Amino acid sequence: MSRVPSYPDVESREEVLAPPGRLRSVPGVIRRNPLLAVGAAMCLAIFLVAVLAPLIATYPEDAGSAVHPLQTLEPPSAQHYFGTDQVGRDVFSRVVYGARISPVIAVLVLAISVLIGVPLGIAAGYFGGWIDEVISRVTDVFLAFPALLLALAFAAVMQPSITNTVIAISVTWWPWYTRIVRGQAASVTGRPFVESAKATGVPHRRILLRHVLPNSITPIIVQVSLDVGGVILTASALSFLGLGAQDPTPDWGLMVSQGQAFFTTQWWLVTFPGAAIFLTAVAFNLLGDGLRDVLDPRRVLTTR
Amino acid sequence: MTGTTTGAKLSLHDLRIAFGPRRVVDLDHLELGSGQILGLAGESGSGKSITALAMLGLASTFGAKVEGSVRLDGEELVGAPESRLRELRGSRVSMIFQSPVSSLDPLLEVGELFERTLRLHGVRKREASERASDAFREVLLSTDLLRRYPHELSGGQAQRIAIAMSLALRSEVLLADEPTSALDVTVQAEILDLLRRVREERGMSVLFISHDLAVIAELCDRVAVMQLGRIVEEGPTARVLGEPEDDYTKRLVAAVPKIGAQV
Amino acid sequence: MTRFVVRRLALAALVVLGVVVLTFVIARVVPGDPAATWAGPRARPEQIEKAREELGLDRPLPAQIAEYVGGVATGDWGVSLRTRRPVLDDIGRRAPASIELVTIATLLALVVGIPLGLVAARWKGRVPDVGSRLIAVVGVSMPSFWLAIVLQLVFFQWLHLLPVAGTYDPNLDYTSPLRSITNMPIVDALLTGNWAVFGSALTHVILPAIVIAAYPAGVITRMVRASVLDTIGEDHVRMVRALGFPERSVFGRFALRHAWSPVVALLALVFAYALVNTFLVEAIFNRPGLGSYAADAIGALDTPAILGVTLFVAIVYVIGNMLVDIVQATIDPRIRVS
Repeated sequence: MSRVPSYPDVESREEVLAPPGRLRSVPGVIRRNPLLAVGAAMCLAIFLVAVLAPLIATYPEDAGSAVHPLQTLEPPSAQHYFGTDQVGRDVFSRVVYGARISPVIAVLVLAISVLIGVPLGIAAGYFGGWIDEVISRVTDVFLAFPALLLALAFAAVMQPSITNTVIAISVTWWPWYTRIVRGQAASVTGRPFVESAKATGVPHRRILLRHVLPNSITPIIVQVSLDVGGVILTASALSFLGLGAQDPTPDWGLMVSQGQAFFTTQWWLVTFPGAAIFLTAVAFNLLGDGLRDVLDPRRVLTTR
Repeated sequence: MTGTTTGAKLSLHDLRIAFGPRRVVDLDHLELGSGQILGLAGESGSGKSITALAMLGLASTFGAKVEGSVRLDGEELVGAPESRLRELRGSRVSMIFQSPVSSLDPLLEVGELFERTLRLHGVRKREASERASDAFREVLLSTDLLRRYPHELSGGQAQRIAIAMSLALRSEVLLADEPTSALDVTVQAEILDLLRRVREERGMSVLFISHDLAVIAELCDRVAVMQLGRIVEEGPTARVLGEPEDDYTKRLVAAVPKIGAQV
Repeated sequence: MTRFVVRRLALAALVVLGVVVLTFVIARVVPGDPAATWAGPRARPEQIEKAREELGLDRPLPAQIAEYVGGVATGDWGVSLRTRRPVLDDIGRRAPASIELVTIATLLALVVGIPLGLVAARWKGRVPDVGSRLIAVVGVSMPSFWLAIVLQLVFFQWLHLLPVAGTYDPNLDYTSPLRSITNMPIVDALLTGNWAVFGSALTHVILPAIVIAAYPAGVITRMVRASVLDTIGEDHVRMVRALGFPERSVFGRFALRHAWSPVVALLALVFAYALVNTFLVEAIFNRPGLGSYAADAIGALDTPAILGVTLFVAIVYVIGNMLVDIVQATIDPRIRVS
């Protein structure tokens, strides 16, 4: 008794039980993913604040090296929405200009991590064998390496600066991408059509570019959007420790550390820059979460 | 042997099932007689599976809206309180599925699942293990398998275990959703055999859902053909598959050349 | 199962070795002369040379690494240039307090995260889900140093409810001195029946634990939600429902078991991450521990100490991962086969 060939393969259950087709319209997507919409809106807002900083800040020069010894440590008021800091600079303007720094650091770190991590991961997953072993072990070692320690060590011996912050974080961030991409690449490589392509002598480059890479892109995009928040937090932790941006750069982490000495009495010095870091991280995390829900419901990725 | 339809075990009237705006089932009337094996045939997307789930009162759990009537021995299930439905699930009406191994919780030993389920339905511990062993014997499986994990079982073994579960629970109705579609042909034959025995020895009523007309021809007393949520033809198997009246049924049957010779 | 464990151990050892090598390489690249540090600021060139010999710094790199690894295996982790004590001793005295703090924080994260994740999965798409996910996002987005300061502001400065810093009330060192057994304040207080210190240590650990637990709690919530939702759609859950189990059992008894595996995997990651990040928390809350030891070591370019701390953290991470693998295999019988 053979299966009747004209019948479609039995996926009936899934099809019948699935809810009506995916809503392709944008309002539909928004309705089903409210958090994504909120995150995207917040990210857009931050982007606008960063770009339009000179227009939004009330005292743009305070974001630079201006000092005003006569108005130090003033509480929030109509002239200074967030008060003034220990050398009299308007906190609001500095926070606004700070929006230019954190996201840029995140973009740089993630770009470097992707550029290093992804090719290694693809090589490991596609070629397998000893290449995979070597790359995986090296990745394991970097993953086991305490990140903050490395960043601290780096910064302790080199001049603290934004550039060095980027390098220090990137060195410990790329292994994650190798790991993720390796899994993807390995599973794509295992599929029959790739096996047959290899067997028929299709050059590696072509297989990699046309099949392996496109299939790995989605998880990379989602992971990047999830990571932005994390990088921003790590970078601000480093500047809090004095290992990143230096005065007078209006880096939020730096501002929190400068305000720490006064936090019991002048609470605004610590609260507003810290809130800015927090809200930026929230924005990108919501965006990342939402993107993952939409693009990767199967959850191939690691949550960190 | 055609089942008697003196008192229909399970009867559906004006059953309408929808997912949001999309209606997937629009059934006027369907009856499963006591001790009968009724085939439900149709292609993917015809609504067979969700109809079966509605017989367990589970359609709404999967997001469907159900209207109409589903009666088990005269008791209305649509709109019944969830607590009552839970009592009935397993103990009066059971269901087995297409992928038997993945239908068993991979983290539990088979025996554990049995025990938990029997206890849920009020069977005391000692009697529970007796019932489990008896059921295993009835499906011709060694009770050693009670200590195994699902991934250690073959498809045939797992499906027998699923059937054993319904026996241990003393179900009266067995809903079988494509139970043999994923199994090898020889194993398939064994399972069909088992279903026949279960009907003979226990008087169980079976709803056998399948897209495979040849299997239905071999096993079922009566068959209903579903197309896009509607029943287009229903009657004794020999008649429906041998002399189909509806166009759709004719097309399905024509696609299976062997049936003509068989029935 | 034994073969499984042995394989994992071997891999773990390999990774730790790799970390040691990497650290040595980095230490070489980094400017600063350990010999000079050891000999002291007023040393003469000959003394520095002698120090270099003593420290073995004149030998080629592979030899240094081999010697170090040999020493590590026998318990000699070098001597700190700053404290002049064996590094292993230093770590033995400082690490336990950090481990205690991180363990408490991790437990807190589990206690908060798992129920939140379950609630989110059970009522997916409705208010409890959105609320849970928002809380999770907040946890994951919190800058720890900021949260620490804000908590101190609210609970100490404004509400006068909790202490601002320290491991326990320093006055107790006179009235009810703590005897150290494990070097973990709360555990030691418990073991020696020193209830004054026990109580004080508990109130002092609350805020730091919350700060450290925020991020893991968020991650665990997401993970549990995702894992339970994944499981819910599977065939075996449909079967369980068809057998008559109520929804709360379906989520709580059946689906949750499947979530344990990824949560456990997460824990190892979280623990290692937290162990290093205690540095910030220890600094802000003025609690001596591994983090502050590491910071001091880095500040003084104390290479043996830096090496020791790095090695220690790497070992914890690697052992943690190994334990995770073993626990996962225990939970999920399918893993034992591969």
